Amino acid sequence: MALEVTQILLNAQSIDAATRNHAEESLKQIQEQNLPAFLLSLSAELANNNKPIESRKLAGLILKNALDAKELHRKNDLAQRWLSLDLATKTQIKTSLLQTFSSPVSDARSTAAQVIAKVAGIELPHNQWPELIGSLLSNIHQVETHVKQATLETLGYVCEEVDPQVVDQEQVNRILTAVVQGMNATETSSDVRLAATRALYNALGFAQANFTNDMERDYIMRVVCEATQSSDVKIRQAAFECLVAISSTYYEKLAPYMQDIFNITSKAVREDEEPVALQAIEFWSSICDEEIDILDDYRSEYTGDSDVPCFYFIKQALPALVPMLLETLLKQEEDQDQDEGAWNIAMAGGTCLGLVARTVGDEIVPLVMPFIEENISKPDWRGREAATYAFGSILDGPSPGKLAPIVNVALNFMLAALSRDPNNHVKDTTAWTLGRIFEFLHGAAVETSVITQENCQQILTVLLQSMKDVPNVAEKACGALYFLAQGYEDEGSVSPLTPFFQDIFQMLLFVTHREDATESNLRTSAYEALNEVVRCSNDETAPIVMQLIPVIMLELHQTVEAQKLTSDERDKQNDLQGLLCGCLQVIIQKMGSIEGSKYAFMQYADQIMDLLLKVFASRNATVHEEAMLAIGALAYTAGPNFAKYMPQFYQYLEMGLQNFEEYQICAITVGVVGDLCRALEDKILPYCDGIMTQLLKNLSSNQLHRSVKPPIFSCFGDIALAIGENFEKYLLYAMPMLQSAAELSAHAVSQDDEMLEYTNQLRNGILEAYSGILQGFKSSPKTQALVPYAAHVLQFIDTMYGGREMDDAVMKSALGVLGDLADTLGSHVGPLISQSSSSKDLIEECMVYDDPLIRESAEWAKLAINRAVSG
Amino acid sequence: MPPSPSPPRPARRTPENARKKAYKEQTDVTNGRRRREAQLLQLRKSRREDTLSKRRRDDASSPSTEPESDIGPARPESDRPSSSDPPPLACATDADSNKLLGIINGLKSENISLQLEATTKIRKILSVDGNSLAEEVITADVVARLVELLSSKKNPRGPQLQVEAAWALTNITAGTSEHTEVVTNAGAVPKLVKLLESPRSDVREQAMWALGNVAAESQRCRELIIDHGGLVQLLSQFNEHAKVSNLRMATWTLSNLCFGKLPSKSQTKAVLQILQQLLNSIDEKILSDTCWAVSYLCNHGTDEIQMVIESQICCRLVKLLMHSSPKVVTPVILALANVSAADDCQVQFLIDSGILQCLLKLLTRNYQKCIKNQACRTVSNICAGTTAQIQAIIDAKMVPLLIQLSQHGETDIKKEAIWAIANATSGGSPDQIRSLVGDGCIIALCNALVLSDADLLYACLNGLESILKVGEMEKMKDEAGANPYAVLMEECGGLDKLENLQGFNNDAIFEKTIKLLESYWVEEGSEFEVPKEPSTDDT
Repeated sequence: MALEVTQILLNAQSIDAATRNHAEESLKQIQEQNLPAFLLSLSAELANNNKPIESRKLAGLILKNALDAKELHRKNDLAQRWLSLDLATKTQIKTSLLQTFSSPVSDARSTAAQVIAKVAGIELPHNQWPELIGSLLSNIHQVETHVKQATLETLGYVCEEVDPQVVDQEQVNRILTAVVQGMNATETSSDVRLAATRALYNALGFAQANFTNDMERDYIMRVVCEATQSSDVKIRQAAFECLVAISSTYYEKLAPYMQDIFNITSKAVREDEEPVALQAIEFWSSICDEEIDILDDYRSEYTGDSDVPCFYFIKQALPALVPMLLETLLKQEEDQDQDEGAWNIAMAGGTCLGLVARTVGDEIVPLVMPFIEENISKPDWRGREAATYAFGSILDGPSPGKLAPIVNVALNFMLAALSRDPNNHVKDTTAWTLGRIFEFLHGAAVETSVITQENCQQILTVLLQSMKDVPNVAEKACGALYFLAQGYEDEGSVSPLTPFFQDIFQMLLFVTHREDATESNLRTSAYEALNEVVRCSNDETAPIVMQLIPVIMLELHQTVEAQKLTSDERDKQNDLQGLLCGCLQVIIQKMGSIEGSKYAFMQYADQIMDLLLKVFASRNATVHEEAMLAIGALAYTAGPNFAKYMPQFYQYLEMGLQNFEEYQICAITVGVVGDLCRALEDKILPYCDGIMTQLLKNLSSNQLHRSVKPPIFSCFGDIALAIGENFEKYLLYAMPMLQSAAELSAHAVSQDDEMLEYTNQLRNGILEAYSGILQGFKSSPKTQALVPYAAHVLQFIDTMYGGREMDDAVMKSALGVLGDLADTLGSHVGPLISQSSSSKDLIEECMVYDDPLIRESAEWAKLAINRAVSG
Repeated sequence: MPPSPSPPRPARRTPENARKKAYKEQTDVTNGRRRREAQLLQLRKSRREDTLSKRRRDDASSPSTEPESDIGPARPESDRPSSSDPPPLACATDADSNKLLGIINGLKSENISLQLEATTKIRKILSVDGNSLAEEVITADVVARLVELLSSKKNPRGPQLQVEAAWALTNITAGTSEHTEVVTNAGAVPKLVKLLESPRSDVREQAMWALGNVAAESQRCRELIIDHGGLVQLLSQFNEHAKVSNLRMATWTLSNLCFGKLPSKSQTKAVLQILQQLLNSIDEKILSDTCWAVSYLCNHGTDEIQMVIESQICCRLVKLLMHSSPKVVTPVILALANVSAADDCQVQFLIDSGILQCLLKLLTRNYQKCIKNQACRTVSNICAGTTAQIQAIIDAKMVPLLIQLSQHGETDIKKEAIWAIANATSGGSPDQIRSLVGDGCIIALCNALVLSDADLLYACLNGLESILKVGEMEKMKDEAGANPYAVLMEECGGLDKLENLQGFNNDAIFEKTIKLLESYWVEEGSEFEVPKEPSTDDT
């Protein structure tokens, strides 16, 4: 029952829009009317050597998209749809796909390989298509190279698609044998060798057992290393990619091979083509990543140890590794700093050098200093840039004590270079390096800052001057100012920036108005620097910060008024609105936190609110987020006075809560509901019906991103705290929702850390809801309404306590809820609590906890329970 | 569905993209929005907690009836009155030595703004541990000027300056003894005492802090403060208008003053009156420091202990043994251990207050070693009391626990447990001794015979002697006519240990050992030779 789809597929790629749209529409129709027939036709099209390659490729692509999608819920839907097709159809499609391997057209084979992997991804976990891997492996002995190549490619994709647990070890062994054989130097076809090498990259995750076997591991490593010496550049690159993957997956197995790998990589970095050299550098960056993680674990308070021991490969390789990386720094491309997509060996080398510095700390300094001294004054800009970049790269890692003397000497030189060096690239790197100096060697956390009252003024003068330089240099200067300001965060009333606040604001606002401010992210950096200066300011400069408000408001007003923009202008406008709202948010928070400024600030509140409401007319997600955050800040500052804005604001609040697509907006809006609850208290009551309805809807939706759900539960608590016993009418809906979520989360088995973290967030949200509701009802005559739910709440805590996977936050919240139950319901629940297995043990256990907050909660819970039991 | 020119490979893990972002990255700058959001989330979380804890505190029942709850800055375990915690604000300064000159000039200027700025800077320099500039700041010159600034008040910024100056002095007195001496020599104490009359609570608080540090230094320093009327002023800080933070500081300072013997009984009485009230505080920090003060007082001798008992706080102290915080329990048990060493009357009072059940819990639950040790010491003191008191110990089912501790406890606790058993057996009635033996006291005492502490050994021998005496009475009931307890001693290897004690270089122990051997074993075995120390005189 295959349909004739060739012409439609070709039309769908027509240059004529009408034809194309029509064809796409037809495809959609067929898909909806008869999915099995549609998929069959597509697979037949792909397998048919008599069809044009364009229609075959598109057929494969559509087939693939019918099996997989990025969004999780859609992905699951598609998988279910495939699994529910009848067996005959599926078998026929799979046969067609495997047949395509013998096609002489490589694009068709490659497409089929990807589709097969998608089918495997769905079926193998359900124990379906068990013969797939066997039949693929039987192809390996085919004489025709192109079948062999397609088969290896497919094996690679399959490994990428399915979990290692799904494939048993015996099959893994056979896959690896086939792949490694294909990689072997004896393989004459470089297509096959390349496909095998790429397949190995994906199959490495399956090789856990094989890597613990010395002989097998030696063999795999030998073949990979040999492949790095292939005459085909693509094979060499793929082989290095394998080495990179091995470095992170099998770090602890690498020791015997490090000497060889060093030789191979260092030769590649110095002599090979760039794509290969980049991978060779990446190998060392990846080793740094591993060792930084391990050393972090060693230092961590909790574990003090790491599952994997540190082999100190970087430390051992240091004397040879550092010179190799320094050499790369001299291979810059012109204008790489203006090109967003640029990535070259100098950039990779410097990034790696930075990681090495973080891995070994002080030891790197003497190895890099001679290079800096030799090159920093070279007439060729490359020397000066490389030296500066090397310096900037090693500022994170070594101790401030080691670096400060060098920085003290270098600072003046750097300031001079930033103002006078003729080369933009050098100035860019110099400004970046200054930013790094301020980030790591200045601020309350650093014993003796390299910045003093005296040099601070000079630094500021140079930085402000550089903000008039070309965009990429100006952008780095803004970044440097950002960190300079951050360093004075806790300085109290003596920040040396204070006298320059006017100048700083003036210059930053000037930068935001530059014609070329959209280049190199300059405008964003200028606003973020402005925000940081405001955030780290103190009471003394509050009046100057206050003067910013009308300026920013005027700018925002202009963006709101702007009419009839082209789509390009519209984008820029959106970016600007987002930045301005962000800036307002920071200013509002600052002014709200300074008692003396709060009232002066409130005179602007009406206008600000008016503007922010207009901003919601924009359809841009980022702008909405920023405006919402600003409103949250305003609600804090305004308190109950915010009530007067609610009638106009409510519709946008509801809109935000309904935005499932852009779930970040939804999440932020849920947070703002909490802000409003605390600001308005019972004045929020008139809006609660609408808000609760929407929140309950959100909870039952499976389209809303799961990360929004825990905050929604917390938000229930916020609402209940604000409106007290008026929450009664929502109990009927909210409590079952809480109960079923509690049940789910209490029994959740968390396989991975991410799931565990989510489960704990969910538990915490639920507990916060219970606490809010219980405390909201406290001393109300309606507390009786809560008594029926008490048993379930206790059971929830009991189950979690039995499961032993609560994190500290959950533990603290659980203690709170135990106390709240007793506190609000008193003798109604006294006996119930006495029977609860967890209440006693959990509280006793927490009484001797290190964390004082947990102890405090435990003591409070105990006190409340004692009262309830005795009273 | 846009056509794609060539089927793209499925997304591979491309470290390149991640690395590219790391090139000259200024994460914070580019992720401004996410960072702001995170800050807001943090803010929200703390506001939510504030709201909740406010509700939780809004309480129908009166909070002052319960001893539990509330936080306080941790008092370090070894917190005898020693240098106090330095102020929390630690801030590195950018000053080099030239800078320092500038600061000192500011300090000496007549302009209050400059004075304030300089004082603040000095305070910050001093609050950083190990700041090399600190030594240069602590000169007689600078300190004298800081002391002068304590008296400035005409200016509206005067109080602020007073706080900063007192704070700087606080930091200095937190240092070495020499540093504190510089401060006292500069005449700071009378001025600090004077500041306790300030209408501003922050000024009073900082002055108390400084005085607390000074008091921690030495008895001479404490007397200096008391001589200048510091104690009276300090006691007047405890009134119903005082803020909690002030009360905390005042209690801490008072506890430091109590570390030494107070010059007069009337002062002790006045202090006890305040302490009695403070013992009902719900604030853990206040409660803890109050208990420390009591425990210090109990250290000074029987007069003080008698006054403590007369002030009728022992009952409350016994209740506080079950407080949930070790910061409270530790000083309480120290105080009670001292009280229990006093006369039988006072001990009886403790027993009547229910102390034994509390001690049992302290010894069986997971408490810190020092608490258990003191609890055990208290038990051993009670065991040294009347037979009625020993009976109370037996009735509280404490003996098996003591035996167990004497075998397996940690060294100090083990010793105290042995003391307790030795005391109980030495002073117990025959019936009590039978009961004690039934619980295994003989083995416990015999095992202790290898210790090197002569006093404890002697006590053990005394205990064994009492046991053996009772054993003689049992002889009649025994078929073989043997002293059953002597047999028990032999069986558990106690006799061998006893014989070994003849080599112990202490006359009293030697004599006691011989006496026991001769009285209960000598006629039994002919192989036993009365050993004579060749060097000791015949008597």
